[in-house]
Amino acid sequence: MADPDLSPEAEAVLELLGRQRCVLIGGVPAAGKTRLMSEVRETFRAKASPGAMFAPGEEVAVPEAPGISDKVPSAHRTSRAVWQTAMSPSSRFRQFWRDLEPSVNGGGYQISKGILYQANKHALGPGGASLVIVDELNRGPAVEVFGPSIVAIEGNKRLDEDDRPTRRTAEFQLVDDDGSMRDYALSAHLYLLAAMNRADVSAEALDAAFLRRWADYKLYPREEVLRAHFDLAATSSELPVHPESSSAVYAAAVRAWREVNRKLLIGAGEDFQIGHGILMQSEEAPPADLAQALAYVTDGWDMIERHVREVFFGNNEAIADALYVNDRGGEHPYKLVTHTFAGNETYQLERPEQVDLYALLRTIAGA
Amino acid sequence: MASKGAQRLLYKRFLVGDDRKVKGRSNISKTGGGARDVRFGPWEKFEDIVKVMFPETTIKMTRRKDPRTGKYARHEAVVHVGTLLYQDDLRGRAQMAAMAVELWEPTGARAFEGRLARAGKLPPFRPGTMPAGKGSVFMLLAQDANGMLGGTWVTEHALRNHQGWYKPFQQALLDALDGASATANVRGFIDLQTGEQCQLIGRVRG
Repeated sequence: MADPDLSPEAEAVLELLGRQRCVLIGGVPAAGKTRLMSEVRETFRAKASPGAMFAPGEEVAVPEAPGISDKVPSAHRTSRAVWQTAMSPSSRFRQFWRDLEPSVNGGGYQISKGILYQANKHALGPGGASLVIVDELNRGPAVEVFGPSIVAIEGNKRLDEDDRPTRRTAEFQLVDDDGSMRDYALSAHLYLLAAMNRADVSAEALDAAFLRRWADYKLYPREEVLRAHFDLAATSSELPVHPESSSAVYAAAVRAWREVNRKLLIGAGEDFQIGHGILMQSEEAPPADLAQALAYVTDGWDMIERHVREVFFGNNEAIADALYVNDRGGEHPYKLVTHTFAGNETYQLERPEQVDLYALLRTIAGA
Repeated sequence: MASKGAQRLLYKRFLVGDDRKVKGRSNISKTGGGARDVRFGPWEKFEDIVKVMFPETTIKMTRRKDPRTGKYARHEAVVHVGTLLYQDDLRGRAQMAAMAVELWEPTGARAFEGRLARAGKLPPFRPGTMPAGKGSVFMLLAQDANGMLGGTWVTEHALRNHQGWYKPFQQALLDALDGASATANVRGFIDLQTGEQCQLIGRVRG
């Protein structure tokens, strides 16, 4: 049964998880990765048991809520659990699987129970299904953390639906409670969802063999999401010289964001664009008051400029190009000034102390 | 009201006597004083769910007769208040409206029962709304994910003859209908968030 509340992105990710067991959400910053992971997490967990609706005045006043979406993997499994973590430079194998770790009680060592171990154990239990979410996959030693399970995580190398090994099941060894090594295989009802942002410099290299185990799902900047958020028409119209309403401010911001993304695509590549979420403070409706709208947009625009400066760090000419300083003639509030230093030409981007934000956005938008 | 997800269900079987009370025609007093209330007890079984479904707490002063002296004295009562959403028919146009609904903690007179105050004033349960000729009738308060309450009647006929019920609720009520006398006092709740269910039949003292 299709779930009308599910976003198309969450539906696609759940479908991919069902088919391939490991999904890696990628995409530009602020494209909605966190929101999407939350939605997948809640759907995976909350759809476990049938819920109740309330329909006052109807003959059946407490009908069963729409059944488990057939897009949710292992929908028939009723004992569902989610583990969530973020990879960091201090992430260790023992935190994900099993290894010796210092024991607080009485000193000495004990065998750890990492989250992948716990999740797999749960999935192998009666009616179990587990989802492990790992955010910022490239911010820590992911290849080392997954260790010998790198082959076994693949969707077609798992145990079968009834937890029996098949000819394709990949086993690996983990240390057991008594210190001995034990063969281990992964449940077909264990799902891994990771996210990473390629625009950030990776703390650790992710090799191709590791990434091959994950089905890719990419998020892109979506102008239609912004237009819906700001209640703007689907097509652009002329921007007035002076804003008379919040709509003009939002329209200018959306168009300027689109134009800067165009430059980021040319100058740095699609991974370095900036997502629509940068201009959305929350999913609530933005303010309708003009002054409040300018304040609302200022926060997002500051982050866009910061992102541009990071992407083209130290290259003022490129930063100026990304912000259309060179393309909009004398109208642009910013100026790219040439200096001579140590016999070489250098560039400095000059901004006035007080910037008329709307005029800046309108200029960049090319109105 | 459009159907919404229910988080908690609080129900009580309505008997003829209860209907009289709601109509203000108490069978124990011509004045009907206090008779419009619907009682849930023993209180310790309902206290936790009431505090979630009626999340605001207030203190009200009440007058109570001292049985020894025959004199009235003022007492403080703890009242839990929730928000009831209902369909209001204003000049022929249906629209959603909200009102406060109170559930009082036990007072000295009925120290083991909480009471839903002035049930007959709550639009879903106004006099004349209770279905007739459909077997036993339950009054139901349901809470949605935003904490809002809704109310409706549930009939034995619908429980027995219609498909598509939320099964734990249907089963709990049918079990009570099949296992208890036609006049037994049945009340209970289902908390879908915690999975807790409670059902009490007949007189159960705390």
